[in-house]
Amino acid sequence: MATWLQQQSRQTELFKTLLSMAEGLDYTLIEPPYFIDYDDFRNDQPLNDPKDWIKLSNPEGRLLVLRPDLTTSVMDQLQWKPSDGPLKVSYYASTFYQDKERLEAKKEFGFEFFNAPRPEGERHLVSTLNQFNQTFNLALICEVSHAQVLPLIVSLAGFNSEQSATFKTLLKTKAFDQLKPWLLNQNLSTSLESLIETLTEPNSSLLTLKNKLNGLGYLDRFESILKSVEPFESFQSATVVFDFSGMSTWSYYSGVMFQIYALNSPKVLIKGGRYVVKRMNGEAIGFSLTLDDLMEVSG
Amino acid sequence: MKLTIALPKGRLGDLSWDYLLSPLNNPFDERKLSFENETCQVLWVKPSDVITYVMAGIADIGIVGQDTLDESDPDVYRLKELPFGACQLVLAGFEKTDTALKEGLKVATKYPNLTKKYFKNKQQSITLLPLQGSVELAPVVGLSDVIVDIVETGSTLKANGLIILDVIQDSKAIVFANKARYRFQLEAIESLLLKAERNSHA
Repeated sequence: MATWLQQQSRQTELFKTLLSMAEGLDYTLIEPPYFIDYDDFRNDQPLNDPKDWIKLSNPEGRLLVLRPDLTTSVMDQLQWKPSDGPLKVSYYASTFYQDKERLEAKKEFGFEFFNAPRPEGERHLVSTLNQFNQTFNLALICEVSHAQVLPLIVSLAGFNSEQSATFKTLLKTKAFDQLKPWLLNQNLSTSLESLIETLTEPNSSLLTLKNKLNGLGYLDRFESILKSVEPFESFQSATVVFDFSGMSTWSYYSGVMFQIYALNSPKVLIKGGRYVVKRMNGEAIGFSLTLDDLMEVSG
Repeated sequence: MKLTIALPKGRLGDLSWDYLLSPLNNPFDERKLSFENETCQVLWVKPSDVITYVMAGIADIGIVGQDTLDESDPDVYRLKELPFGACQLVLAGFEKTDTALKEGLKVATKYPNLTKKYFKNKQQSITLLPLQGSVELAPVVGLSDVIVDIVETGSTLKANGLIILDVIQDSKAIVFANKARYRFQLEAIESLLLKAERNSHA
């Protein structure tokens, strides 16, 4: 009991720290709705497999889904449109999913910046992350990727849907010993093979990466992408790795995507990026983390 | 920070040790389940527990058969296929068993997920009988019509009067990594795998 109380007290302390940080950066705390319309959700997330989502029908027969993702629920709550201007919101709420016969919940704290212009939104995000780690002082590695890199490679290589699926599976699992012979069999040009290798290996310096892309003759195709990840070079309180083999299971990402790992934790601590707010025809940038994970790494 | 490797106890673990850590003599002792030198720590665990140790971040990397990895499908990096541990996941039964026609076919297996996937692709409904071991016995005593299991030489099947009815997938030993630990141990992992690759060609 004493341990449980200590944990609750520590979690409250962490929540207050994050809330104070969010308020200091002009984020408003909101409570996203628990249920949203299933069809709306599927419209926003066409690529996701909904088998573990909790679905219920309301008295009018409308199919609802119990908050499987906070970002979409936040959008649903706000009814925000880009002409309203920039908007910063934070939340501390649970997502729900079904694990075998059990209903599971995962509580996250998130920061979302709607209508954040490029690249000011990215700069603001990195400054928020720096502030986060100045507070918690953790040994972090930030893996930065971009949602448009893989589609661009697939288009340059002219992969069909089957080739594209194999390519993405091999990249996702970093099965490079299988990827190399597979690429050889696709009859790609040597420069395209080198491009894929360059973009999917971990790069610690964007300048080196730019020079390599320039040497291969592809810099102009990737310049705007590299520009949008550039602010991450200022994430001084973490080791930053640019690795464009990364991809998200959520289909709403439209720009930079990142995952932050903490030493002594087996999981992603923070994840986020720039995403499309489809139904409002706008964009936002943000990130989230669970307090359980933060508690585990911050002692 | 030392690299921690989870190896499966048994033949696959011995081969893995020889591949990764040769020329160090394998100090495996049935009672002492970990080994440590200046650069790494090795944990010998039950084959089915290797994934658990890696997912929990206790071990940075582990080695298991592809069949085991595919069955539980954890969110890990599959870094390298190894040149040993080759086997096949097969559908096996008696020669006269007609698997195609029978609805509700009784299938005994240690691989329920891969089995479900296989029959789902064939659009055939089955009765699944999950077992922990001695799967070959199930059709012999009438518990199941067929089995789905790993076959290396086929001698156990033959000894029980069974034959391979279909090959579901080939499998090899695989080095896999916890995604977070991979980021922090990238240099050590790459160096270990490179050294092992060179030694295997020497």
